[in-house]
Amino acid sequence: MSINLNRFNRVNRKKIFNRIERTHKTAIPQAPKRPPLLHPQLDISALTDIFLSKFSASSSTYQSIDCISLVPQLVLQYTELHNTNKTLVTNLQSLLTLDKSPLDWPDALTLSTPPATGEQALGLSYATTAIAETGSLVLCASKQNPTTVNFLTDHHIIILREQDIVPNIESMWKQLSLSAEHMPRAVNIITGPSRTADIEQTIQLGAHGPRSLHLLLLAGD
Amino acid sequence: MVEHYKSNPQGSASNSTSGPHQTLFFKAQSSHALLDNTLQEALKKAKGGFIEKRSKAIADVENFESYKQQAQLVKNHTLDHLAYYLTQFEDNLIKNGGQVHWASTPEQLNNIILHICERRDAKSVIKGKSMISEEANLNAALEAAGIDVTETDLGEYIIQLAKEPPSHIIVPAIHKTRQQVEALFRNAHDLGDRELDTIAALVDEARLQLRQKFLNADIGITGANMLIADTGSAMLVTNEGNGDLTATLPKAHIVTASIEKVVPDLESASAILRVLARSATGQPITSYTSLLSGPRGIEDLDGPEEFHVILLDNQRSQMLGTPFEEMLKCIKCGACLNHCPIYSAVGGHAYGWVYPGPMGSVLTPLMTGLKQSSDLPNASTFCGRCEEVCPMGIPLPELLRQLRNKEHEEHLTPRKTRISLQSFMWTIQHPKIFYWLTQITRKVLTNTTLSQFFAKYIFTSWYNSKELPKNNSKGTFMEQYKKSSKQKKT
Repeated sequence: MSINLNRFNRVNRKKIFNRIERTHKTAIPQAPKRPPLLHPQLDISALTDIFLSKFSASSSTYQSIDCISLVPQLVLQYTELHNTNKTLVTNLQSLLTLDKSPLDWPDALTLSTPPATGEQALGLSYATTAIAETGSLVLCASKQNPTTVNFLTDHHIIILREQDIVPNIESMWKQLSLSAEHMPRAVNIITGPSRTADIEQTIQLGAHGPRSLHLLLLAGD
Repeated sequence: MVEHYKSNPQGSASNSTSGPHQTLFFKAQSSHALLDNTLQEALKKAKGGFIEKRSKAIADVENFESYKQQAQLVKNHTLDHLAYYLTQFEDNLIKNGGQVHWASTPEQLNNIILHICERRDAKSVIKGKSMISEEANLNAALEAAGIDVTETDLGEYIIQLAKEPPSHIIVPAIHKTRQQVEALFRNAHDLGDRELDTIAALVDEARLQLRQKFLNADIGITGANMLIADTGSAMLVTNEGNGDLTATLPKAHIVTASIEKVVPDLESASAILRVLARSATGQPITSYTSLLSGPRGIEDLDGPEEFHVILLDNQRSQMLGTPFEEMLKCIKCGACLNHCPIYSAVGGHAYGWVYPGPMGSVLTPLMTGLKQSSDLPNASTFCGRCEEVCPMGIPLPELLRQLRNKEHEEHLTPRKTRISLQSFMWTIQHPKIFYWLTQITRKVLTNTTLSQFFAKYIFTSWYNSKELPKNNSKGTFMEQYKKSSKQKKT
């Protein structure tokens, strides 16, 4: 089982392109112009309301907060609500991107730093932006927001600033302004907890990822 | 008739490893399926659910037709410039630190994966759902090489335990009842006397078992719903989160995708996302839509060290520039399966390969050769619902019709069918004989004893699964027509 992978790829690539280009009018592909596309328009003045109604429809819950310093107590309350052990994985101890002051974590919570290992019951992350059209939170993988926190914990709490909500999927990409070579390793568009309907088409939450998703919406300004 | 497509021009080599081929036996398999009570029970439970959810999701948006149009614009444009966008995708993925591989045939795809496994000395592989790997029957190839492979999508995991192929492209275990799933889990897992009688308990059990597999695996393999040329990314659409765990935890992530999955940019991807989940599960968007763009960076605390994308052709480039190019617009949502009266009656396994339902009846002959699957283009009532619900507007009945024509031209239709068709053609060209025959037929049909004799002793197999029409007419169409025109004159 030893193939020269480089050569193998070169030969196959050429064969595949020959077959594709046989049908094209121009031998050398020119940069084509994609036809313009329509985007669904939303009532900009009601973005938060639209977002929250779609978000709730995905079996998620939310709380509005006006100050980031409330987060530790709310996280503790959430563990009590779901009757889980009080272990939290997050890299937002100081939440520097959101606020300058370090957070005051209660002793009852055991904090660990990412990556998540599957042993922590809760994960805390922040969403870069959110989509009103679908009620989705958008998380970019980074040192502060590692992907394992989003998927390996039993319950996921996400912080979002109200002013970061955008109307539709397209405006979300625009907001992130992504370009090759500078891509976050992963962008996760999250709409509700993990779910499956693979057994008798009955929806069951918590298939492999979090069993619940909770949003802390930080009020604007 | 426009017909330039040559079936399976690369020979039948690709068939040796591409999974169990039983497409020749559609008739036998579907008869068997109709008599399988457990399967019928499972199909009955599934029936309607998807149709209802989809129509509700569509009613919830202002103009789904316009969403469909935008998505179709994207695909038409991309297929017109496929070479350009594939090149752009490759360039950008390399810029992001990923590696691109090219496979003409399914076994080449397997060979590339085995090569990567060998180089990394991988012992265990976890998989997210990938129809491309089903085309290649990858699991068998990995197992043959002594590698432990585990499917992590719940439905795929169930059928892996049952050693069966998927019976639906988005709900692979749709044919299993919860009792069957419980039996499979009891057989495979060390459960003791734990209860497993609810769906919640079954899902939890799978979560528990698969969690360890996720944490210990050497390589993760997933499919991709789209490849974004402009950013060099793979887009993965799931509900369970298993795809993301597969893409994040192991040290290497391999994406298996076919060449037509590429789209120009993220704006184009958005147009397709808008129709994909609504058509598939009736959701506005799935729980997780992820854009994966390479291995972990210096700052990242998790993610794979290696990121590979393998691009599979498997006859697709041969469909370009033929009427079957339409099939490359398929986004694998499964709406045509859910709305198909044939699929709903016999389930997915009767179709004999990885793609069932109307889209499978077109794709399977194109990928595995018409000779091997000549029953499939006939597994349709031409009711047209598949085309109606297809978000990409693929003219599935027309494509099936073309395959039937081709089948006839290549003399693949059974002798019986050919003789019947020829006799019918001859009869309708001789009106007098035709009228005479319709008169006799009517007399037979209105006579209960005679008609039952025919149904019981002459056309036995036909009437096994069909009922004889009741005929109380006062004459053939022509007899009644003549009578009424006479009456009008007088």
